[in-house]
Amino acid sequence: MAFVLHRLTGLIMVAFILFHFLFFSTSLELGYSFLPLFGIIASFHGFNGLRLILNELGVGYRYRELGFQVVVALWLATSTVFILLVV
Amino acid sequence: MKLLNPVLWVLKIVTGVGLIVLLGLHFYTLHFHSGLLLFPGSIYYWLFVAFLLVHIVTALKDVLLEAGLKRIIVAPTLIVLAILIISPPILGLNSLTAIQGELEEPEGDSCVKDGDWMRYNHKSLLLDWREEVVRQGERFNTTEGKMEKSLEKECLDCHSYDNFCSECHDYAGVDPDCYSCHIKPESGQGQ
Repeated sequence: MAFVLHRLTGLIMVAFILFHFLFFSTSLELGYSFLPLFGIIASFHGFNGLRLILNELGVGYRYRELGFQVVVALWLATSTVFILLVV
Repeated sequence: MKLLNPVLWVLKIVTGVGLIVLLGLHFYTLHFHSGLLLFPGSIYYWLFVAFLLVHIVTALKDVLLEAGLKRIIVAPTLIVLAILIISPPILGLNSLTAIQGELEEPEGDSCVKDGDWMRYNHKSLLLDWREEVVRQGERFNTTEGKMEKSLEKECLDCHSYDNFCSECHDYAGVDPDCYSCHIKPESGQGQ
């Protein structure tokens, strides 16, 4: 699940960033209208990416399931902040 | 060739961590109006583009190879994607530099923040001003010298609506929704 979500969020971000760079108008539109959504996607990819780096370096690999739960907790907390920004 | 994979792995990790830091700064800047904006042309922007390019190419290489695609297909795919990513920043498609010289020079010595910051981020500032004035009753800005948080009473004191604001908005292809509530400034207003 973590593997699929990491790949999926990565691909969504590639598409988002391509359009964010494309023209100033699309950059502005995406930047303001989809900032919370992008923040939610990017925070998962970022937290899970950090976990993967640690695991690949041999840190906490034995406790990788707990690591993923920590990632989900951090992601939910960050997502709440992003949602509160637009409410 | 044996050395290539570990090098790419290290690059993916370093750029990934770098992107987390730069994206964090970008969000922080937008929300708190700090000066570290990733506007086109700034060093942070080019650093972001470089990190992004390396991270996407190295990560997608793994994804495509894990999907069972042959190297002969993976390599051109990555090259096309790299060109797609790098072209808009290099060609300046999302940059406002080209219109700068065409606009009427504003009066006054200084703006709320420096020119580059205001050029790319004034929408965020105006949206926050609106919130602070309407919902919190904070009509005056004291952090950047005392000024009234008002487009008509402050911004249009120095900027021409027709030859500065509208001209740049037309060039950028943006349509501000300010005047769905406010009365649109008359032609020639400003300065």
